[in-house]
Amino acid sequence: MDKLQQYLQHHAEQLDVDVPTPEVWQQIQQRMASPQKPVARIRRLPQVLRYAAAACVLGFAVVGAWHVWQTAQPSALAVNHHLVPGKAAPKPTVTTAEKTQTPPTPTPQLTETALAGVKKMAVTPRKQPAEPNAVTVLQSINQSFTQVINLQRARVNTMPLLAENPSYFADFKVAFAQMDNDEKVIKKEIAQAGTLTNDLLDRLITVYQQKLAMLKQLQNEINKTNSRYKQGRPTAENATTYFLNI
Amino acid sequence: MWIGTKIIARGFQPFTQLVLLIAAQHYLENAQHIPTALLHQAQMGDTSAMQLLYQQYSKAMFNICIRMTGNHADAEDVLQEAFVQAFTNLRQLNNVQAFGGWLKRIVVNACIKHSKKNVYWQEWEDETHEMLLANEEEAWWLQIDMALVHQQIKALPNGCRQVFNLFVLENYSHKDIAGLLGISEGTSKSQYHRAKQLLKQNIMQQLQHHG
Repeated sequence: MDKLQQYLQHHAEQLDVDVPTPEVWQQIQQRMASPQKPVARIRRLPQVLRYAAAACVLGFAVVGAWHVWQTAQPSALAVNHHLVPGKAAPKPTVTTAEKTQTPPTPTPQLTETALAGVKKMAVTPRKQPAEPNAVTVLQSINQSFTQVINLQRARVNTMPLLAENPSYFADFKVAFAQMDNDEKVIKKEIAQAGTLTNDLLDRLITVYQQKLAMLKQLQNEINKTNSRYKQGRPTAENATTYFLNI
Repeated sequence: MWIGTKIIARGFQPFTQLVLLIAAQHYLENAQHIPTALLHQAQMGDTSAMQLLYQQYSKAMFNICIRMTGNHADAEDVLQEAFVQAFTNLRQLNNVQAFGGWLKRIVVNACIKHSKKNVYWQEWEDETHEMLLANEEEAWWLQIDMALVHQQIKALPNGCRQVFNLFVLENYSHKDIAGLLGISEGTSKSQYHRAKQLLKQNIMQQLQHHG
């Protein structure tokens, strides 16, 4: 503490020479008189309402937890395209650079039960005794598969690409677009036929399965290139990170 | 019997309140200490009790505000804001004996808020101030009238005025000032040194002009 500070603190009361005008108190009084007490209002909430609010919050929390649990379930829909009947899936072409650097990609493993689950999901509407409208069945299948595919797409899109830029995976994107086209063609044929034949349904399911298989393959490929990159460089802090938009 | 006593007590309630307020006012004139009952009444929303508290503290608080803001109008605005805030949150004050310090903190915080809104801070670190502070010159302030000092503190430029007041009169450290005003510690020290120099220079000029 310097001397000036000491001196002024010691004589602080002598510094108080100004006086506020009486209007200040009048304005304070006016403001205090105006009814603005949100805190008091909250305190007056009935006990029942508090419990109701708590129950609502708890309900939302439970629903949220259930939703998270549902989405976090290990996807049983990883489909092996080797098990798919009918024509083989158009494998996405891989760049020459990748071919020289990486061993052949191991095909994703799939249990028979998982495939049965997928098949069942798609086939169930056909077994209904009363043949429903083709559009309804189509919507149902489309909704079920699209949900799973979108989930997988979201996973792939949020994976950081440490080793390669997105153009390295462009072939996958092209293949995916091709599958989209195939899907549209089949849907158009169903619309033209006016009914959902076994052949059309099988083709549609195959396309969906191919999509899922390709997304899984892409995910594996990204994981592989990332892990290889991390092994080469212990710290990946300075690396430029890209994300796919498939 | 009990009901009768209750009715009589209720009848006397305004009278007892009046007596209490008169006693409190008398007490305030003679002492710095605030009666607990008065604060409790203010906590219950009694405007008369609030007015007494205002009368007791407004002058000191207003002078803090005017030294921080530098002008009468802004000081009154800040004072009003601070008292409204204090009276609104008076129920949160558990230790009524600490009312003075609590109110002062509210006022100083309101002043800091006002300063942050209205003062453009330029980072300015002068390395020489440490040396100059170490070689403190003679105590030029000893014979100066405190009213003149007060006037010249108000006339200090924005920025250094706030730092000077917070450091010298409110006893904040440079580190605290830096945190509160969002400036560096070095800037706070430099502004304080600048304020000191300007204060001396202006007071000396005033003394020369007025003999």
